[in-house]
Amino acid sequence: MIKTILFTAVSLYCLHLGSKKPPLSTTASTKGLLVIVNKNVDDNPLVYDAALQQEVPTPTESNQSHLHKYYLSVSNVTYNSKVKALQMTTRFFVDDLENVLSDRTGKKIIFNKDADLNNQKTTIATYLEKKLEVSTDGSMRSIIYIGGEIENDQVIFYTEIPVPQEPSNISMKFTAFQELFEDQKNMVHLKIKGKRGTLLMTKDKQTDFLKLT
Amino acid sequence: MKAIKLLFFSILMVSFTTFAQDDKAKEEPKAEEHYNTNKFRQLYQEFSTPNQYRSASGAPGPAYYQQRADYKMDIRLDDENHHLYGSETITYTNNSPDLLDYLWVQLDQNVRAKDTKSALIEEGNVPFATNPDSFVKSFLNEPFDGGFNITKVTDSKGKSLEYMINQTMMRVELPKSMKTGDKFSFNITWDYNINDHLKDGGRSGYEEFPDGHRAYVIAQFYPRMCVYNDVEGWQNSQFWGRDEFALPFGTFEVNITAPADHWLDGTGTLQNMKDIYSDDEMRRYERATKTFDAPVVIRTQEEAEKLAMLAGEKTKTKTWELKADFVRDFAFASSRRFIADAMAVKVGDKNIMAISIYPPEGNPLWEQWSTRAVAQTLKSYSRMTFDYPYEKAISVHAHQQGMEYPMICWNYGRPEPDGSYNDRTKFGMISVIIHEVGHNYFPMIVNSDERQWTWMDEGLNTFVQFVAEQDFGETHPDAIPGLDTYPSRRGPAANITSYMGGDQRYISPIMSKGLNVYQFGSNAYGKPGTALNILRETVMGRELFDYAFRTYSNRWMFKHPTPEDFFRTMEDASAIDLDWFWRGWFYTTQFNDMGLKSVDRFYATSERNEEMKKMIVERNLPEDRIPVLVYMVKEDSEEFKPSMKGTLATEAVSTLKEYLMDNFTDAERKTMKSPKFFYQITVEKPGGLVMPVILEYTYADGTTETVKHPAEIWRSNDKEIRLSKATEKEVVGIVIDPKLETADVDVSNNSWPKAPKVDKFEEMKK
Repeated sequence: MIKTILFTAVSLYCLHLGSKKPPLSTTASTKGLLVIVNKNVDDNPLVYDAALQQEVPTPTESNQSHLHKYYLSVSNVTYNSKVKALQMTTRFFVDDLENVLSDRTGKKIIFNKDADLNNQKTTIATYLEKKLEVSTDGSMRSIIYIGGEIENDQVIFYTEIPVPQEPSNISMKFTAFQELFEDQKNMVHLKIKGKRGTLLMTKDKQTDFLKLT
Repeated sequence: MKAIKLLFFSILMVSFTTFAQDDKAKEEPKAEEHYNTNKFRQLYQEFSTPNQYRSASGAPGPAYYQQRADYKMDIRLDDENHHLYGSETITYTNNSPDLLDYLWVQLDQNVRAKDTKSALIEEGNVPFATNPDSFVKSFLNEPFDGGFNITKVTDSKGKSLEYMINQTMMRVELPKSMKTGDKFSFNITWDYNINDHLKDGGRSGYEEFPDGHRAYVIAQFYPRMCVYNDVEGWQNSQFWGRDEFALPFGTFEVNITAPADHWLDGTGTLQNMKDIYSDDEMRRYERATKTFDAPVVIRTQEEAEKLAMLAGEKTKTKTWELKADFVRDFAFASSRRFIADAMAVKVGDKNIMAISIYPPEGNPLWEQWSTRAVAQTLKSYSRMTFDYPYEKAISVHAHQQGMEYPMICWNYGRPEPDGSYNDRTKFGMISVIIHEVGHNYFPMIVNSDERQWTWMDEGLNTFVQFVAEQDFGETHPDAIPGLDTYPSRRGPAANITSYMGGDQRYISPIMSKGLNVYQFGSNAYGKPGTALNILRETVMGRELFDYAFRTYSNRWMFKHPTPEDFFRTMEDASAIDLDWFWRGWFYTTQFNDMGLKSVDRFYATSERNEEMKKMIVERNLPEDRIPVLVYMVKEDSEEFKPSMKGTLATEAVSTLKEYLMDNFTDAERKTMKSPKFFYQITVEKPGGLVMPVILEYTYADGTTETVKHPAEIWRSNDKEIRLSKATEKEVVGIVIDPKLETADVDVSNNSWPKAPKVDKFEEMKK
């Protein structure tokens, strides 16, 4: 049997978050994966997390089907002293991105290949600038969307945040997709000054802060 | 003289080695005593002992037996109340050598009973925020009551039989123990509430459309016999919702009464087609049986939409009579909103009907690709296994479903309401159709036990699915515009590395019961499917693999294989010892990671090198006892002279030249290689898995050479191996696994010289 969904490494991650168990170490996955877990109370909830990682139901479908859903994006941030910027990779599900951008622009946006991302570069950049605020050592920083690529049913976005020197503390507000999915969580793994830390942003707690010294 | 010199030389070398080991022993702690932990040891501990039922070759043994269950059923589909009523006569045949006192019958719908324990083995949590419908579903709603209501269990004379229901299993007491060869017929009458599969989940149920009409995909709808066999006794492990099914073969005669305007189809041959189909439909169907290049529509979208519009008051009913032989299960689909198309596919010397059934919501995707995907599946799978033995294969469109039954399956892939769709929806649909139709082979015909071993059907099926998808891309280039090959998600080795290299706490070995594994999809579908693809392409080669895979498929066609039967057959038919592969890939969570630790360049010379000089001093060797030797000088050592580079070894070492002239004829010398460059290559293996070492050498003139060392290269050192290579041309680069075919989870250490790290940010800026 095949039914919908996912990348379970991180789906477990989500379940853990949901069940308030201590989160896995942030080193668990250097490749940030984004996940939707479909919980189905009737059958074994994990039944449908199997199989082909295709066809992630759109939000409308999932609302109709009353499935429990968890939404999570995972980003990784490091500091690159050569270009004097924080470099951020972010993974979203393509379907979620298509939906949110189509809804916002009123145009049907489809991302089948990398070129489609290039064609929508301004739309994506504008969206990220609106949804992501970063300040380091007390100063607001600008968000520069470099580009993106599609990997199976996910997109990977590359974003730079110019910062003159490796920061000692960082505060982030990352509200991507929260206008569409109430449960959206945006998780950011940081590796700065040899230290690791994680920021988690939800609709209730839109800003998170980490001291790196 | 020559012999004496060689003898002396070997003594010298042995003593040198011993000396080196003594030296080392001082630094390293003594290794611990141990059992045989060699990764190439045979799987005697893991495998069950071969016996009369299952032979060591992997074939069914001389005493192999399987039970038989024949069903006669009358089913009524109450569309208005979405309720199903059924009565059946099961005739069970005991072919086992054992005496049976009772029978076990599966009541799968009880997983949906109000008091199901399935919900109680799931952890719960109170989320900090929930959307209202999730909240209602979790905390306010009474659970849906979809369990079986068993109203009667009687023997053939109508006398009640004693029975006991334990969750999804029912034990029926036999009035008299069944001996070998005995048959026993009994009747069950039951009914149940059909679930809305979009609301309540499940592998079957109905979808209600905005116009109020429903599409039913109905399965696990009847009490079904458990498997009884030589490995499990009764396979009555409960159905908790995830591990699928284990079912014996038999004949099904099923009469289904449903609204007359429905399009209904299911497992088996429709016995009264002429009464059911309209004249138009009959004519179109006849045409479809002779059409091999494109689907012929049998009930059109217009007709389906018209039927939906006209239906209002209670409609009349009709009874569809279906009969199937050699099937392990039965399922059907029914709706007045169904469109149907079909085409013929030639498989072997038979014509098979490839059929699709879908509501208008499936178009335009379904009319274009479904039946074509079914046809390709039948062709590709038949080539890889055996000719499809049934008369038809149906793909039904059910929203968010992907589920297989004999001759019929439900598949997702729905365009947006405006008919648009993205590539993921299209390829998702084609892939799921290939996957579910492919399940006809595994496990519907090669009837493995899904309850115990999910991977045996899902893994094997995912592998053949990959082959069929690639075939589909080749035969339907119009389906993959802008792509060279079909974009398969599972199969290529590189696609499994993020799973295999992930957090070990959340990885289970493939050889685990499906209910209990982490990352079900990667565990039971992705990893075994990829393992078989690697076995075929990299370890065994297509010819040996395909022969062995076909042997397994044919040996166990219409039988019940176990994992060992598969593992053993693959070796038995190919003469390749694969115990290391099964152990690593199927019994452990090891991953493959190899790296090029070092590459040293050497040149041959007749001048004594530093090492030799040192040894002469240390051993106090008399000058006249030192034989003629060929010495090797490392390129970055002090003894290296640039003139050494590029000189033929036979020229540089005069004593070697003389040796050749003294001992070989001119003709013999001409057949010999004439190397100039010598390389010492050290490959390290941070990963636990043993895999072949594939090395690609790039020469100064731009040509490449690939050398594949079988996995056995790791048999005496699991961490690090040293390889030597003598070449006529200078090697300028070496890469391990250049085509990414061994699932190496970290390829950043695979190149010499070290490949510059790809900076995605810089790449994107260009």
